[in-house]
Amino acid sequence: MGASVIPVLPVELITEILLKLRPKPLFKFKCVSKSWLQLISSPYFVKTHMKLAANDKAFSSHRVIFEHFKSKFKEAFIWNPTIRKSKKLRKLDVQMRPGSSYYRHGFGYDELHDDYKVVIICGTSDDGGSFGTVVNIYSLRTDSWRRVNNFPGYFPRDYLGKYVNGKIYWASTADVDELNVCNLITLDLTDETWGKLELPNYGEANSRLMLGGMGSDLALLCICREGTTSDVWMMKDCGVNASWTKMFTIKYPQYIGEYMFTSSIFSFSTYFCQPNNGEISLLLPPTIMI
Amino acid sequence: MAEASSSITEKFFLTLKSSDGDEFVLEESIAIQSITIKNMVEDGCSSSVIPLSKVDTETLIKVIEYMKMHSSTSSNEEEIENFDKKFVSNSINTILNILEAANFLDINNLLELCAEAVANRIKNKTPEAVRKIFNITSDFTPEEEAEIRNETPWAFEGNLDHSLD
Repeated sequence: MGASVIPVLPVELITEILLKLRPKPLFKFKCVSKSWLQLISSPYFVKTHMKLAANDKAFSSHRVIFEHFKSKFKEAFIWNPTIRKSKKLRKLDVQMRPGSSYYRHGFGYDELHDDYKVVIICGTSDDGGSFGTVVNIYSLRTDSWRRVNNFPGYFPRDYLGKYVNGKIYWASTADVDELNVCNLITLDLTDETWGKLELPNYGEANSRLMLGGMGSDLALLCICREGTTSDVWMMKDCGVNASWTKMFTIKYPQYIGEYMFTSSIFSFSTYFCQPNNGEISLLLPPTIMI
Repeated sequence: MAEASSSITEKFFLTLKSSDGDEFVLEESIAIQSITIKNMVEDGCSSSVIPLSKVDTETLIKVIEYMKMHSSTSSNEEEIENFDKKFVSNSINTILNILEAANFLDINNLLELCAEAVANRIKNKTPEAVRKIFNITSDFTPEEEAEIRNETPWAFEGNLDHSLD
């Protein structure tokens, strides 16, 4: 009897259902009715949906792409592959000297200001070999660049910083010639302040490090030199009294370690995710199997 | 039965009455998965029959099945998982009715389960099918609808499902 009656659902239940959908069907259902269009486009819905999606897969909905030529920074785009839109960022005027300059970048979401931000770190050496570093941050909301001061003075090794829970992390070395990562430098996207995070006592000095996100926590993959085992560490609370916990050790064949060192794809496509069932999966380029 | 009498606390029973007038007797410990019922019990309003004027008999039977399976004492995890899988294979209309009941009775797990199930069932459907399922009449002019479709033509790609269940 009940099943033959079509219930007219209150808007809060429609919201519950639509929040479970991925972006593609949501865009499709904007044309169901004016009230559905209004609901799906509302800032509350968009924000809530994004939060749920971010728990699901660490920052999969936006990417940032750069086009550069001989270390001269040219153009940057923010690209959202889910809704297939891209935006060319306002031109950033930085002078880089070929051969003696580097740049690093990061991208993340500032929850307090509901804003996406792109960070560009540019380092240029003077004739004496020491680096001067200029950091600019782009706000999607205001479509403008601004300088960020007080760069902590290490050399960020990661081209793309890892965004986790409001902060961007770069594994850094003491100097540009140094190979061993000595700590992580962090940039808080909300107040745009720098921080420094000590590494766990992970053993071998020559281990390769890779940053990942596990839910809303920071994770660290330490690849041992021989490439036979790797440890995954996790930073439970990224605050002041943060502490590292070793989660587990992965065993895998030797050649993969070598591959990791040379693959630039790897650092861009790696992330850890922790679905509700507590399993942790490590996503790798298709040629690598664990 | 004889050996249980001293060690097990006394069981209390509640009577739930559907909008069709049918009465169901249910153990209190199972029924209070519904926060609405729990609050009524705590306020002392449950001594006689609890009328659930917004839940019809068919829906109430399903909700009681769900609460019995999900009560902490009786089932293991695998049983619950299989039950949930089968539960969401009910018709969309039935699930929408249960969703409303879960909202009224304030049973969060059941609400989540039903919302997820409905989302899964409608994700590949055409907007026309979704309108029929939710009993919605489009209030767009053909021009307005075409404009929305043209903004994101990729969202309409792929094999769309016209069925209503």
